[in-house]
Amino acid sequence: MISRRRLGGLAATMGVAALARPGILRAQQLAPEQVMQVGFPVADTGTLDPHIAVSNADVPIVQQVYEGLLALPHGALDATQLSPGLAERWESSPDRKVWTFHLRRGVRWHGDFGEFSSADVLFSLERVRGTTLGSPFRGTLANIAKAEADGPLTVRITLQHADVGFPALMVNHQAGYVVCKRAVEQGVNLRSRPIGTGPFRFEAHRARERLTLAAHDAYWGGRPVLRQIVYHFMPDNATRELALRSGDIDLTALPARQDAVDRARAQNQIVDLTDVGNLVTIHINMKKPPFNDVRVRRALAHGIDRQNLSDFFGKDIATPQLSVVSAALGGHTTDIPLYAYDVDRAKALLAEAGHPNGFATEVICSSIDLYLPMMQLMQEQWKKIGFTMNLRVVDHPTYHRLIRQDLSPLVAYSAARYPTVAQPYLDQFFHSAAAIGKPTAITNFSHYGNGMPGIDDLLDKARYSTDAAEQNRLWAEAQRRIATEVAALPLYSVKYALARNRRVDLTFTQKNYVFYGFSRTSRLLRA
Amino acid sequence: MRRFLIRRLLSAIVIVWAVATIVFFSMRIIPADPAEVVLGEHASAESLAAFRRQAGLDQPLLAQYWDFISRAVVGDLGQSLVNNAEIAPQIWFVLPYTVVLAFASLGVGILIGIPIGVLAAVRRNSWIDLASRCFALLGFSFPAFYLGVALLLLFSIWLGWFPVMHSIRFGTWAEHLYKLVLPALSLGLIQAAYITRLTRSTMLEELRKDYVRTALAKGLTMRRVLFNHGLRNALVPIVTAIGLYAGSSLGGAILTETVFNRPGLGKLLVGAIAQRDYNLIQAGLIVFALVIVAVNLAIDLSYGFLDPRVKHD
Repeated sequence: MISRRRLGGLAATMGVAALARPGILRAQQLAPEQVMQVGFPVADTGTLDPHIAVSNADVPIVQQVYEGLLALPHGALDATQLSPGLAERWESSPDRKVWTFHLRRGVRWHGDFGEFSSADVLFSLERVRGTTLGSPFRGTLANIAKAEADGPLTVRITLQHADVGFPALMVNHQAGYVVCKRAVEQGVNLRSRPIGTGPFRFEAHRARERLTLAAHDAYWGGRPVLRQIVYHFMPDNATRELALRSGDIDLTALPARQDAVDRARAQNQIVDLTDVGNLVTIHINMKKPPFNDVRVRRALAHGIDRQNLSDFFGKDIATPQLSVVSAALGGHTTDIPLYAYDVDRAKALLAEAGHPNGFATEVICSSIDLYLPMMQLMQEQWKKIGFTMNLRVVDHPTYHRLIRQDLSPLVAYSAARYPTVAQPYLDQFFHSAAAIGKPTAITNFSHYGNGMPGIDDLLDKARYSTDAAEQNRLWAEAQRRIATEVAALPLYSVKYALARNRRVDLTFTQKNYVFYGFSRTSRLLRA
Repeated sequence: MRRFLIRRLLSAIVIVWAVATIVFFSMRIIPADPAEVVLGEHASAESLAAFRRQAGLDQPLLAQYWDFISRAVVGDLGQSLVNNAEIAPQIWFVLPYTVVLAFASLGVGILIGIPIGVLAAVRRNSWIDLASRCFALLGFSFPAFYLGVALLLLFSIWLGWFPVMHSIRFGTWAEHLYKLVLPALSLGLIQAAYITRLTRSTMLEELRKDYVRTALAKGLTMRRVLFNHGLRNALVPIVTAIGLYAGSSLGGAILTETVFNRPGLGKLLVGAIAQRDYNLIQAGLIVFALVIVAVNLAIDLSYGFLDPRVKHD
């Protein structure tokens, strides 16, 4: 027996189904409330100014609010697949020194800041290049000789040296973000109130609790499907995992461990493993005894069991790497001297270097999950060859301060650089100008090339070469020299583990980045 | 009484000033500053210098200290060094959450701890006493965050009675109370362990005293002797310990707020320490100190009510 009410419902359902075209049917499957609840794995954001933001606590939010002249594919840091963003099209002079960008008409800034124009682009470029703001991306735009507007919708940028890869810098990433000139001139603090042109606008921020973005309905690409994205600051791994399981949040980041990944999969959640080319490396200070002896450095290299490291973190998380340029970066090669895991050979090298009974050194280590377990494993591995590494564990900000004061002979560092080719990584870690202690210091902890032969000649040639094959040859030679001298010990590349429930339809594949991003079409489906 | 209050107020001012000064200088001894944390690992020396200039961190230390103290005296807590947001509204928003949690957990601790402690003292060496001692031992050795996760697993995941996220969609007072249950239990059960043990030992001491024997000999019921005389006398050291415990209760709220993802002063401060947001840390700890001073003053005043022999001269 079927009730009248149930019969009515059934008839209505059948009617809808009969009338539904595919598009309508898809709309029927949307969740009634398009509010994405995000378990954001940090205590709070730091700064939302796109020209300053570098941390994992800031960048994922900045990406939703701001845009660049060109756009990277959703979810991928792939500079070979750029598409129009705030610029509809772009072209260069035959010598690749002058680049012209034709801007999109009718793009609205969030809030009441009017329409986007070339003045905003020039202002943004100057903001990054100038010294007032102190943008960490200033060096990225060092090749720009001048930038000028040709009317409100055209920008022309002249470079000092030809650069075929210049468009890759004008994207929705770091130095390429465009900020609103009028907002800054009116005194809006972009650190806490971002004003962009992206599909989502800043709505509210409660310190250490949550940050809310709302749909920017005047977005040039169309009205976003998600009405709100709520980032809940949840630094505790266990709470995030339980909240995802209970359905309180829709997506989050997992600890980079195989057990967490397996547990999420067992609970029918979708796990996305993203690769940002993050390479975990131990840099060796080549000036400090006994590490100034190449035999000692080679002994350490022979004492590394990469498979053991990879097994510990899990097959989905860690992949052994042999070169200081990760396999995910353009220009990577393994045609370099390789040091197989060989305890006897390592001991023999140490004995040859005058340490038949081994030696001990204090090494500073960060307390975060990315470094401490790895260094503890290395401690165990190197104990077998006679090297006792006494770890002095400090909190992460302290670690960054101390290693920049050259206080640790071995420095563990996990890093990825953009654009995803070898040059920026090699420049920052192995060019003599980047050596710690110099006014131009960045992250050359090994001091390679600083008062000793290095790879400056190769990097300076490769930087502005317009011949891709020649660039690859130079980068490969640089990797060979680094491996011969053992300036650093590449260990493994690490993937980020993200998890979402099955209601979340990103509408693209999250391939790179440390956290989930959203597009105009991202949506929540009915459970 | 007035002299007592004035004296306590003056000592409170000295305590808060000392806390503010120690925090100010100790934060600056710790390596790394907000510029390094905000600008990240590949910031240039130039970028760092620009940030420090804008935040006033390039000024001499004593000038920074004078600026901080002179603002604090007039109640100006300043702005966050990380995102320039005003600090006062942030603290006033989260403070009630922490105070409510601390008092609710203390309430749980008292409601569970005192009756069990009294019962254990009266039924000394019985199975009740043994169970109460086991409970106290378990409470001492259980880390707060672990208990929090265990409660979440039991009540939120398996039974589905409470949400995991305690910050989502706060609305009515009833909802506030509903979402207070698990955090208050998590913190309160551990406090109950301390209070149980303290109550048991103080009551045992009281029950051995002559006035108890005399009262019983005169024919008073055990219940009357216990609650009208014994417990009342035992309460003075118990309340003192609870007052001292209020400080660690606020400290314990930090872990509980993190595990239950609940807004609060502890959570605010943990994030600020990680970001080296000196201004926010200083302001937060001053408020912490003020709350603890106020609680201890209230405890001191309560002695007069608990024991008429105590006079505040």
